[in-house]
Order: sequence, then C-alpha cells, then structure tokens
Amino acid sequence: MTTKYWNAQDAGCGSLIVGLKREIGGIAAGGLLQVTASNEGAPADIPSWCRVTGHTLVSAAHPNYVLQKKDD
Amino acid sequence: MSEQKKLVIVNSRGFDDERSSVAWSIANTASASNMDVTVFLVAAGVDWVRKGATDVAQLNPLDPSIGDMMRSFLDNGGRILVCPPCAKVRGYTEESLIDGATIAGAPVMLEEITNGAASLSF
Repeated sequence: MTTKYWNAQDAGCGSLIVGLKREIGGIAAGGLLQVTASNEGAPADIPSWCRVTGHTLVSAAHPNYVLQKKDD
Repeated sequence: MSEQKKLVIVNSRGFDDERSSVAWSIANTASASNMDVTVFLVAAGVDWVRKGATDVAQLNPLDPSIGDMMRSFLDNGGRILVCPPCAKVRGYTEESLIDGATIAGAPVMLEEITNGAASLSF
C-alpha cells in the first residue's frame, strides 16, 4: 500500500486543512498519508477534518498523524 | 456526511482589517472540508476581488496571502458574490473583477440560506 509523507511543519487552521486536502488528493483510495504537523491546533483540527470528510485517522500521536484516504 | 453542507460567509472587511484574513481563511477551510461555500462581499470587502488588488496583500503573516487563499478557495469550488451597489459605488464593473467573482445581490445569497445554508459574517 502506498504511503505518502507530508511535512506540514507549523501550518495551522486553514493552511493545514487546505494542505491536507491537496496532499490526500494525490493518492489512491485506501492509500495512507503520513503527516508531521507541529501546530498546536493540529490535535483537534486533524481528527475533526477526518470526521467531516470521511477519511480515516489511523493514528494520532502529535505531531505525527496517519490518515487513510476514503473509498471514492 | 454524504450531503454537502452549505455555508454563506458575509465579509464587509477590507484591506485595513485583519478580520478579512480570518474570513478568507475560514472560507478556505470550509471549501477544503467538502462544504458548499458562498462568500458574499459587501462594502469594503468588495475591494478584495478588484483585479490586482491582492498581489501583495497579506494581513496576518501566519496566514497565506489573501490572493493565495482566494485562488485556493475558487479552485476548491467556492463561489464569490459581489454586492451590486457596493461595486458600483466604487466604480467597479464585472470587467474590473477577477475571474470567479460575480456581481449578484442579496437575493442570491438569501436563496442559499433559504436552502439551508448556515451563515457567518465579518
């Protein structure tokens, strides 16, 4: 299974979410996106975005996150 | 989750107000979160879509530039409406505005709310 890595650094709020959408857009359904996001809002914002969009949050140990892209 | 939620953001804030950056950031986040988002620009907020206006505008150094946020918003399917009298009083016509901005008034925005859109205003 493909795993893509994105270092979001300190991107927060809108910048983090727009980046997540861009990065996950480039992988196939079921593929994994590994993210490093050091922003203080990330522990709340990334799980929330996953709930809203339907992608699966496989693991969250700030600042490291793994998302699985939902099926089309 | 399968049904797309609607959101209307009314922005009356211009180049001298950091709240403009917050409004565009929230609009951008919403359009990147599978929401159907309409930004309705009124009063000084109309200046954001004048061609060339955002080339150097960055109101919060931790946000992207306003131009980058607007482009991303439009790329993700966001819609920008521009209050007709607010544009006219500034001498703007449709030709003065960036692609993706449409001169349309309160009825179009209110139709979104009638159809269930939540609203935020700045």
